[in-house]
Amino acid sequence: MKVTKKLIGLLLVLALALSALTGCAQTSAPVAADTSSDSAASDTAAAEPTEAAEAAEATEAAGIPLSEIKVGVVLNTMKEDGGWSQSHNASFLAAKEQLGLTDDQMIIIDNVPDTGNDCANTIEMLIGEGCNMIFGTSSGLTDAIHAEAKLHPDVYFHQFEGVPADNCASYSVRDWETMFLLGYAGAKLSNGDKLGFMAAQPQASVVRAVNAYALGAKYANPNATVQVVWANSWYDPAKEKEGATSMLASGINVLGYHGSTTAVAEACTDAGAFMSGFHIDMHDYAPTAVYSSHMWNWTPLYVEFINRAVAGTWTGEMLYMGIDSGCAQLAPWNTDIVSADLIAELNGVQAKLESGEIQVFGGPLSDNTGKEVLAAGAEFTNDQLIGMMFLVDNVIGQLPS
Amino acid sequence: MKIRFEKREKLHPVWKLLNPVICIVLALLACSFLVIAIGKDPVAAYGKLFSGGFGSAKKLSESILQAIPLMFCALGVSISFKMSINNIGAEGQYVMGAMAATGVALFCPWIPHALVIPAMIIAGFAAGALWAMLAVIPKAFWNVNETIITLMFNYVALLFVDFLLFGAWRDTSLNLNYSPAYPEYAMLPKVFGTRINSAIYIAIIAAVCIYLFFDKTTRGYQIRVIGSSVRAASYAGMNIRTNILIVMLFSGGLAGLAGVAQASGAVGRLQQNFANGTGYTAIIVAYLSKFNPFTVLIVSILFSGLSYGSVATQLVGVPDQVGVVIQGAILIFVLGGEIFSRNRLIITRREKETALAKKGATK
Repeated sequence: MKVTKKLIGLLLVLALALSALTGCAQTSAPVAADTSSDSAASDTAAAEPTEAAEAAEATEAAGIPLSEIKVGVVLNTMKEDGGWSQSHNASFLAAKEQLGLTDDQMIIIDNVPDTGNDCANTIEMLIGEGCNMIFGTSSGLTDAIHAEAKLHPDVYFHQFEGVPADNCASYSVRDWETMFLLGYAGAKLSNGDKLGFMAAQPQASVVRAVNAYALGAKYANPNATVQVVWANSWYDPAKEKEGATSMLASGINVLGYHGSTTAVAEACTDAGAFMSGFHIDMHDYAPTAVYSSHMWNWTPLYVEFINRAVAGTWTGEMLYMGIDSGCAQLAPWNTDIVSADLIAELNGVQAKLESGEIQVFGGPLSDNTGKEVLAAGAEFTNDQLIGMMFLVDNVIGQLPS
Repeated sequence: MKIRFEKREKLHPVWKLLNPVICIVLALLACSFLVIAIGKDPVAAYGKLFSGGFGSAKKLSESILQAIPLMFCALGVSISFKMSINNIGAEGQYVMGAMAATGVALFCPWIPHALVIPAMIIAGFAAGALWAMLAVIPKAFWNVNETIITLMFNYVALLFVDFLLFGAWRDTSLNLNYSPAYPEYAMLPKVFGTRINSAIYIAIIAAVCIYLFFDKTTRGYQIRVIGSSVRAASYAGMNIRTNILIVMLFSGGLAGLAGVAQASGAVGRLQQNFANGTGYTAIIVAYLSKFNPFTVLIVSILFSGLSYGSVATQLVGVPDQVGVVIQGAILIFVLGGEIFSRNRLIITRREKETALAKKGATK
């Protein structure tokens, strides 16, 4: 018993010591925070006049000389993951080639976990290696990128679909433009008015793709509807196959797809149905089924950011690029499925998308519960696009509440 | 031919120190074949591996920051191993601690701001301790194998946190399975002008307390006796049941503190897959440090430095998976080297054997 009492006593002393420790140290924390925000503020104050000067006449002094650019990239999965990180890795290498950067001027670190402290750790290392431009390609890295951006006001940070800040830009690709075209083609290839869509996680980036596909189908055929089935996973071949098979069995013969497996391609081949691919050209998965695929190409975005840093026009803003700049790409139309006439028609629609004549998410829009989500002539803000959580009126299906 | 081990009576202290160093060198030599096989220079790779983790004050500070949750888990695991209780549930106790701390930080607005961090520490410790004690109740009362139960409790804990993060605790402003961010007053202050947080002090104090407990108290002595022989301990009249629960209270509590330290010191919110295997790495660290609390602190830093350094090996084109292989190789070589330093390897040839057998027969 005595020992237990002693132990309890010891514990209490420990607890007291702890609270004293945290108490003392806390007073010093806000000071540190203040100085960092101050320096960030003065940094932007300094940046603004140079920007104005740059607008008047391109001056070399404003930007970083191209030879002094050093790019640090954090990928959250392996470089050769057959999808997301692979597309980013290839785009960075293409940007390096295009701008003539040397091997020393770009460091790509892959397989960095989204969670925990690893991303911040890796960024510290990249900055220690002399990187002055940091890119995070997964939205899971947002926290670490923002915290690091505050600690390093002199470094240009870039976050995929993040919240822009003074020295942190955000970027994304308007994949809804390619999805609109794929939906348009799907409606033309369909036997009836009803199409299907096999989708991964019910998260905003996927929801946008489903909506764009449905709007494209509606543009081709005003009566078209799209049945959506969620796999609730980024990678679940069994569930995707089950979902696709059940839709095809109900008489649907065209599926849209947002995922990374070969399961839907197999189901469509077996049923003699058609589908659109995603991430990469899925033609080889199912040559008789895939009519085209959405593909990522981040190169123009990365080249633009680096060029802005060199020219001194870099700002912490949200940058979208779409089909016009080649960021959202389509794999070649499968001529075994898509007729020459339809390809000509699709090229016409693509030209309208590129010129801005067609706005995929242009008002008026209402969701499939009948609620108006966008008034006529209005436009979505970046935040609304990044956080899109409704299904447009011709989608049959639900989002988890 | 016959191979057998014979226990060495005495081990020279110099050899004791030299042994792990030699083993690490041998591990690196073995792995250099792998590095050469992928067409890279092993010298450059190892240079990056070590300079990446320890090459400068800045890098060392990052390694220490990364090591903090590992320290807590490994301290917790090592005290249960000292009593031969195989607590491999540090991973689950870690996330339960982080979950409790998050509950306090985000959903207890009535706590005065100055008391939030102490409350988080207490809640995290309590949650980890409770989770660990629940898992060993079957062991204490019915002698059920604790290894399986503590392991299974990990999955329950991880899925329970997932349940919260996919639902009630999800930050709806993000497209991720994260809790909302902690308010500023729930964050541990940084120390030494680095990104290291003040939880490092708690880890050091905990190590000192563990040392004093095992070396200076009767209870600590009892636990050590139980660890070497449960029978002897119960003949001596020691209460095994109470000691199991006490050990798991502190073992789980310390792992719970790892969750508090990581959530409130480094990350600032609760995330899916938060512990990322730290609870399992802790087992390795505990074994390598032979359950000595001060060695645990140092080995944790070495291990985190190696994993941080293995990110740096990517700078010379070596994939970080190789870094993981090197970590594994070091473990195998050091633990294997233990056997050779404690035992003498005796190989008897066939002829000798038969000669000996003949000798026996003639007797």
